This record gives sequence, structure tokens and C-alpha cells, in this order.
Amino acid sequence: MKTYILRRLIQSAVVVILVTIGVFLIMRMLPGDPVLLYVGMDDVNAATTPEEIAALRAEFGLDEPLLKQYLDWIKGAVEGDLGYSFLLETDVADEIKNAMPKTLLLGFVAFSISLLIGIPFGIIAAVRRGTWIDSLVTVLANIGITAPIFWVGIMLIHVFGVKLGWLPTQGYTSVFDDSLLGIKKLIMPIICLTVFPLSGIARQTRSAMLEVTKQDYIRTAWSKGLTEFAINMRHAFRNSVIPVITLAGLQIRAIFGGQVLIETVFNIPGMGRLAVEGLQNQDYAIVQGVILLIALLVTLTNLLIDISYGFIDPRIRYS
Amino acid sequence: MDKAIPLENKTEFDESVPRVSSLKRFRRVLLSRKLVVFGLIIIVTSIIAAVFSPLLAPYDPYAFSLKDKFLSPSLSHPLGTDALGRDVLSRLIYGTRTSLIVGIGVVGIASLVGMSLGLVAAYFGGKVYTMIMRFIDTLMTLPMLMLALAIASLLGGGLRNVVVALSIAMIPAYARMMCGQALSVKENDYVRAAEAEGASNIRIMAQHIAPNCFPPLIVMMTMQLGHAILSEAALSFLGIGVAPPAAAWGAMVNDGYKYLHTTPYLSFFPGIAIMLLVFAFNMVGDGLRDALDPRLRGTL
Amino acid sequence: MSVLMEVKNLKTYFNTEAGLVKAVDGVSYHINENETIGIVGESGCGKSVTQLSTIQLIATPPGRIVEGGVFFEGRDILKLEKNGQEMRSIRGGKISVIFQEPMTSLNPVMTIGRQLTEAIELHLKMTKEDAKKRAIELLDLVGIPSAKQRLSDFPHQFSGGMRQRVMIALGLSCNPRIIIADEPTTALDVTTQAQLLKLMQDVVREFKASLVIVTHNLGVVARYVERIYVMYAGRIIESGSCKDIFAHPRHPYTMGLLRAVPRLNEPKGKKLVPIVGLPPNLLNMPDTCAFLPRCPYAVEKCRQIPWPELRTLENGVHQTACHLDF
Repeated sequence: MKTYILRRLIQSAVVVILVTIGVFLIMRMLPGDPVLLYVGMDDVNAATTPEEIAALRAEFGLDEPLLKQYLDWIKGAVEGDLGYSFLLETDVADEIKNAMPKTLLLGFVAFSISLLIGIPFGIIAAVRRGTWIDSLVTVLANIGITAPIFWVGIMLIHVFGVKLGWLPTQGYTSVFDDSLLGIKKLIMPIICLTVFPLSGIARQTRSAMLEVTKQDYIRTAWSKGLTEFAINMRHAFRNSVIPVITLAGLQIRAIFGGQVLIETVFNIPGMGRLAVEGLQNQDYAIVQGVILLIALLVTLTNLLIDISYGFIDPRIRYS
Repeated sequence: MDKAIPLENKTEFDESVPRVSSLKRFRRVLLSRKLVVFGLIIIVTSIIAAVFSPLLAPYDPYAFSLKDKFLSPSLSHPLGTDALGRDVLSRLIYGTRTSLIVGIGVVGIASLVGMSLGLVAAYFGGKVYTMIMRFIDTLMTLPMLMLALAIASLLGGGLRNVVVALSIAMIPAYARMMCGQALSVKENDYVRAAEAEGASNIRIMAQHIAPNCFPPLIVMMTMQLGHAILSEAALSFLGIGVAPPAAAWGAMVNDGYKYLHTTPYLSFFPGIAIMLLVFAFNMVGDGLRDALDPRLRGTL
Repeated sequence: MSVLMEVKNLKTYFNTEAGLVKAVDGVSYHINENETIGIVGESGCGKSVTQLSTIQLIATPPGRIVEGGVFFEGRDILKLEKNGQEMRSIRGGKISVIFQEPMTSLNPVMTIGRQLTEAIELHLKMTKEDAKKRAIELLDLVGIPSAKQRLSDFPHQFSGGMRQRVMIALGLSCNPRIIIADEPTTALDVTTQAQLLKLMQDVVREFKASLVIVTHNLGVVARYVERIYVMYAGRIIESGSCKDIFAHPRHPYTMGLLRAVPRLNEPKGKKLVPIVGLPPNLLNMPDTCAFLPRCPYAVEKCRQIPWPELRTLENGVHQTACHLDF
């Protein structure tokens, strides 16, 4: 188990380093010169001389060799300095500090709901295979994985915001400032973010359970005279957990992806919208920071999931 | 037809059932589910709509007519008109082109590259495996949509660049699936036999390993067609994709969003179109899985 | 000797993609107290399905027990609710099964100890500590070294033979009246096979239980069983004491099976004779004898009469489903 965890830690570290290199290179290759953008915005009329541009470049460290720039960037990042956004005229770290809690809150709630509803319904559908409840769960889950969530968001806004007027449709309010309004504003975005992972997890749980209930050891469990509940939970579900957790890990990633859309639709100033605006405005310091943090978060969750396999399946633990 | 035989002695049972011809069985299982047939009909209809768009569309999808803007659905404009007076139905029909081109293009490129990487990683193992898999892991640290968004921005919009961006973002799924398959196929005696005969690496990979990995990958490709279409819609919703006058369903949803208060159906119809087509590919994928190999049931 | 369990006219059918399969089609047999019987037949003859049917372990769908009764302790246990409390107390408690796939029949994510104590706690109403003690005793009994330590091990840490010993311990764990051993040794090498069969015979005697050995291998059971039932295509086609079957087989199928088994007491150079042809397809079975297409003794009458019922022969015990006299 120790060697298994250690190996996964090293792999994750390698991936993190590769991610930073990748992000750094891609962002340097993005179109648009940040200095020209900066100059153009700040001082439209003044004719900026090439010398001045060069001076600015030096000031931002853009004339250094790539490797030095990369190492400086990493050094800064480790110290919590993610660079400066010319467009927003703030520190990237500050922007992200503002945006991150919103994104994490939305994502965490959506993920938890997906697991809490998806897993029981997947189990029920598998155990009651072929009944109306199985058909209902399967059909809803199949629709859920096909729905474009930005469209779901717009339709929800239309019904609950515009027609019924029950819920606010735009923006974000901290639940600490105004609990009721804060929660009301969260409801629709969370529904949208939940649709896809919930459906996926329900489907995966169902099919994993169906696969496991075909196994010989389930027949053995039946032959012991256990109750159906004990067989399904103690024997079948514990063996179905791994594929479900694997998918759940992928869904964390998908939720971050979905936030790009949902934060745009609902106008929530989170990491997703920060990334979209950063890309649209060629503000690569912001994009770099957001991508780096999301990649770190995803790598971390992947690591935790892989380690959890070891606790769940003794065959992994002892290999 | 879809029932497990959990408590039955499998070996005994299998032998007592006669082998049905595999093609017949394939067709019967595939067509036995109404949703699979429904999916096939939707897909065929979309292909026809894409190929014959100019014949089928009642209007020119690009023709503005400001006096006809925001018309409600009616006989002459079954799905109404948009802010520029363009016929929504015609734009939806032309939009099938964008969706299908992206879907097929992305799945084609991503599966080719991804499967090759997975095959090579699994076959050679060792350092090659580690290098390829770490590269794949790295691509997988970002949400697919965010990765595609970043790459598309880097390349700068347009249909072709969207296809490239989504392809790169979808490579990891194929590489991992293929790698897993190839690792288990590699252990078979016929591969050992080919090695013993001194067959070349490429020959062993192409002739002995790859063909035996395909069934689950074909299912995955079908499902990913839907996924690619959904992702393209998301990108075009965010304003990255085909250049504006051309029709893309995601962009149409976004256009409609601006006028949600007055004309909600502008967003509604393209969203339904996306869902139908994606649903269709998923259902056919499900059906293919059951028809190709019953053992795969529940593995994807 | 009194009858412990009697199975009457049992029929179990399966709905498959290709049609209705009559896996068990009118099987009757009985087990006496403290007796070991053998159920013998080729793969697909319905011998395992018969056994699983007696404790309602057939998945429905696709399987269905269509007809028949299983009389045990004075009542028809097929009439009990399939997964109801009474049926469950019999399953594992009074009648236990030792399955044929030791590699896959144990839960991979549960310790061996837990898999044993789970049943013991349930049927013998023991506390956790007592159940654990009993599990250790059982593992000792079936010959697993340092049983106490191995209780917390997982199935993948055991070899095939060891896992089968665990399965035997599981089968014995709740003092059952009947133990059904479904091809208990098929997956193992010959030495281990003999050891395990001997072990089963010993422990069954010690526990005063009855044992049903289901196998495709006549040779395996000869030394251990008192009576034999031979099954073919979902029916019993011959039954009798071990001696009856081996000394005077009265059905061409049994004769064929015996000729295919090597024996030490036969003259050197005598050839083994395989049974020609394939086991029957259980779909669209003809009304005539199912063995007819493979029978070397078939006469015209065989083609004209329906599949003969079992008839009792001179000694009152031996039965055959062939109208010919050999």
C-alpha cells in the first residue's frame, strides 16, 4: 500500500510539472501581445515608441529567455504570486481568490447531490431491473447525459425566472451577506451542474451493479441465506464501488468544465467565467492562473481517488 | 432478451443454447429496442438534412429580412424567425452540417491518434508506456471543455480549428481505452505465436492486436459522436466556433438567450435539436454495445 | 434409513433468446439421512440446475421452476416464498452448497473470516466472538494452516485448492443437513481432488449430514457415493446403488459413460470408447428418447415410442429409462 501511494504521488508530481510546462508554453503561444494591448488601452493617443515598449517588456519580464520566465513564474506561483493582469489591473492571485470560493461551492454542492441521488437510484434501478422504476431512472439518466447544460440553464431561467418569477436569474450573492437571496441564486446553477454528473453516476452505478450481480460470489451469498438487502449492499455494492468512483472522479472534471458554461449563463463571477473572459480578452495571465489551479485541483482529486481504490479493493492494496 | 443469468451454472447453460448466426443476432439485438431504432431514424434524418440542406431548407438561412424579425412560429415560418429575420427552421437544417462535420471529424481524428498512442503504449510498455501515459494524464488534468476552449483560442476560432481543438481534448479517452484493451489482448497466445514467428512490431499491432480491441472502441466512438456534438455546441455557445453567419446550434441558443424575455423559442428549438441528435448517438451506441458483444453490457 | 429429502417431478425451464429451454424436465430423486449420493451427467444435462432449484436459487427471469415439489422436514419447500425468511433459514442453514468455481465464488473484497462468520452469525445466532472461534475451528478442520491468522486474509491470497477448502468450510459452517457439492473438484489437480473428496466424506460423516456430489466424472464419485443418479437432457435416465450402476449398467448412455472411463482391473490394451455425437440441444427436443441419435443399440421401436419413463428392475432399487434389456 505504501509503495502504491508513493508511486501515485510521484506520477501526480510528474503530471503537475508537465501541466505547468504545457500551460506556460500554450499561453506564450496565444495570439496577441499583452504589452501592445496594455499600451493600447492605457494610452490611446500617445504615440508609444518602440523603446517604451521594450522598456515595458523588460518591466514585465517578457524579454527574458523562456526557461527563465518559466522558472520565475513557478517561483512566483509557489509563493502565491500568479502574475499581474494588464486588463483588470489587479493581481491574478487576488482575482482567483475572489472567484475560487464561488466555483468550489457550486461544484462541491453539485457533486455531492450527484452522488447522494445518483448512487441510490442506480442501485434501485439495478435491483429492480425491468420494472417501471428501472425504466424511469434509465430514461431520465439517458436524457440527462445528452442535455446541453447551457440550454437547460436558459430554459430554467425562462420558466422559474421570467415566467414564474420565483428565482433570481443572474449573479452571485454570498450566503453570509444575504442567506435567502444567496441560496435562491444558487438553486438554478446547481441544478444545471448536477444534471450531467447525476445521470452519469446513476447509469454507472446501475451497470456496475448489474455486472456484479452476475458474479459467482453473489450466487454464493444467496446460497448462505442472506437477505436481499444484505446481498445487495454488503456484497454487490461494495464490489461495484470502483467503477462508480472512477466515473465520479471524471465527473469532478466535467463539473469544472460545466462551470465555464453555467457561470457564463448565470453571470457568476467564478473561475469559469474568469477563464472565458480571459481567453476572449487575450488576458493570458488570468487564464494561466485559472488553468493552473484547476489542473492542480483535478490532479489532487485524481490522486485521492486512486488512493481510495487501495482502501476499497484489497487486490490493489496488496499488489 | 436483456436478462442476466446470475444464478445459473453458466458453462452448462451456454452449451445448451444453440449458436445463432452472429450477423442475425447482431441485427436482431440492435433492432429489438425501440429507442435504438428511434436513434437510427434521427441519425439518418440528420444525415439527409445535412446532405440535402439546400433542397430541404424552405429559406436561405443567411438571408436577413429586418421586417420579418422575431416572427412567431407560423405556417410560412414553422419555427419562427430570429433577430435578423432569418428562418429558424432553415438555420436548424443547415446547422446539422456543422454538428455532423464536427462530430465525425473530431471522432475520426481523436480516435485515430488516441488509439495509435494507446496501442503503442500498451505494446511497447516500459518507458514508451510511461511517456505516453503521462502525456495523456497531463491532457486529462483539464476539463475537456476548458482544454478545447484554450486550444481553440490559441488557434483562433473557425470550424476547422474547433475540430482540431476538440480532437486533441478527446484523445485521452481513446488512448486510455485502447491501452487497456491492448494490454489484455497482448497476453493472448496468438500474439505470442506471432512474436515467435518473428512478425514485425507493426504487423503484430495492426493485424493481431488492434482488430481484437475494436468492439468496445466502436461503441465508444458512437457515444463520443454525441459528446463531440455537445461540446461543439458548448464552444459555439461561448462564441468560439464557426464564423457568425454560418449556422451552429450552440450559437443559435446563445443568440436566442439575448431575447429570452420576448421570444424564448429561439433558444428552445436548437437546444432540442442538440439533445435529439446526441440522444440518438447514445442510444445507438448502447444498442451496438449489446449487439456486438453481450459481455460488454454494462462496461461502458 | 429414513428419507431426508425427496424431489418429485421437478421441472425448471429457461426463457432464452433462442426459445424455451427445458433444463430440468421431470426429475425425481431422494436423499436418505447420512447418505452420499452422486448426480452424474455431461455438461448441460441439468444436474446443477436441479440442485439449485431445490433451494430456489434459480434467477427468475430467465429461469422458472414450473412444476414439482421438494419435500424436506415434512413440507414442500418449493412452496415457500423464494426469498422469504423460511426459505432463507433453510438456504445455508439446513441445505448448503459448495460451488464449483473456487476462484470466483468468494467475494474478493471481503475477508475470509467475514465471509464465514456472516453465515454463522445468521443461522446459528452466535455472537461475533463465538462465530469467529467457530470459523477458526472450521478452517482448521478443512486443513488450512494457521487458521487464526488467515481469517483476516482476502480470497486472492489463497491458492485454488485452499479456496476450495474455504468453500467446504463455508458449506459446513452452519451444521447443514444436506450439503450439495457442485463439481467440487473440477478445477483442481488430481491429487488435490482426491484429498478434498476424502475430506468432504470425513466431515460429512462427522457432522452427520448427507452429501450430494454433482459431477460429470463417474470415476470421481465411485469410491465415495452409495447411490448414483445418471442424468441426460434434463431427466434421470438411470439410478441405482453404486454397485448396480458400475456392475450392471442398464442404460446405453451409462454403458457408454463407463466405457469411456479407464479402469485398473481391465485387461491391458482394452480401448476406451468415447460416446459418439454431441449432447442434445435442449431446444426443440423430440418426443423420442433424447439419447437415440447417439445410441449404438437403437432399434426401430425406439423411434416409434415416446421417451420411456423410468422402470424399476428386478432388485427393486435399480431403475432405467430404456425399454431394452441388457
